[in-house]
Amino acid sequence: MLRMAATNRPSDRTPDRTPDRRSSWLKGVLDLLVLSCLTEGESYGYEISKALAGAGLGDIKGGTLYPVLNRLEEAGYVVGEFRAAERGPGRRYYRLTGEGRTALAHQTDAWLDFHASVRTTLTASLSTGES
Amino acid sequence: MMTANDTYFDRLGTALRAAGMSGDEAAATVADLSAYVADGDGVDPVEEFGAPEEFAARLTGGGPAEGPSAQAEVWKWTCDLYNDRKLLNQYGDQGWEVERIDRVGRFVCRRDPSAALRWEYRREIANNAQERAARIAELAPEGWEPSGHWLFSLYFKRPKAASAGPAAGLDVLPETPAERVLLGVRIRKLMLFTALMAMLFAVLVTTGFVDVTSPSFLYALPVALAVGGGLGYYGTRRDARAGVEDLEK
Repeated sequence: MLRMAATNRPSDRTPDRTPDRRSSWLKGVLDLLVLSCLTEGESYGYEISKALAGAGLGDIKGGTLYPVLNRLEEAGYVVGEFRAAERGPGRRYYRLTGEGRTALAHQTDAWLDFHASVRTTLTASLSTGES
Repeated sequence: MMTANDTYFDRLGTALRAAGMSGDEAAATVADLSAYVADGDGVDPVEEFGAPEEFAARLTGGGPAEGPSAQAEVWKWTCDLYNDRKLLNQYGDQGWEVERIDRVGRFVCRRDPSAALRWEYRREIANNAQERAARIAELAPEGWEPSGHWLFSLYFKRPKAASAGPAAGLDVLPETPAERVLLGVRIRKLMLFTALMAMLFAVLVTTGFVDVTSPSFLYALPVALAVGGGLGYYGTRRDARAGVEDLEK
């Protein structure tokens, strides 16, 4: 009985390989998350990374973020522009294009459908395990 | 009884070790930062540094987002402080990303042929964990991430795409360099000078001009070594702070 109670604690249900899992999940949706950070207006790498970390998605390194931004820029979903600052170094600012906004809307719907299916399946398996 | 600060530094130590930092280095970092927090009146480590796991990732240059792919090439090399920035930027332009600096001071680099990026590097001087944390926080808004530290040198990396976008792409990858130790002219001259001094000393000993068993020699030797070592360390740090570089190849 004690053993069952212990394994049902949320911290004990967390698999050991959670960081690897999260990184794989993130890979599939990072471009959408980056696009979503630009819906309110233009932004730059560090600010995007900070917004994603603030949303609980972990510390996204430059080596992961910039290839995504490059791909989005090449696809025409964002426009990047380097601007020199009056004080301090310049930055490359990214702005969402109309095409990017449309792609974000379509892909968000597709992701949410997928997420709903995953959630339904996993929730069902949890309740089966508990009964 | 454990305080909130103790719990914070306990978690930080665990996260640093999990990120690959040696036990000794993690303990020294934790001790340094705890002393800083203890000195500050009511400093909250969470407010000052952020969550321990995220702070550990920043300090070690690691991150949860993506690990190296199976095809990634790894190259470990070292150089002297008079050539480090030039060489780091040269090889960064060939797609080499410094992941960390190992215990013997080598840059541990990786390059994923399927997703290579051009990297740029910079070096800052930081004498302890507190100064390193301050430099890291200061440069983060410019997109610089720590890539490791060695003695007083703290290295940062940034993808060139941060300023140039897709134009910084890398189509052709030069071969992995065969060299592992890249010493500049200044250090090679210093090594030659040291070898000549050692030879001169050996001649003086064998010809009887210096008696290595005399008490005066035995007292003078450790003093000379300590003074020489100290002067070398502070001279190198002064040069590093001033940004002195080898101009010759």
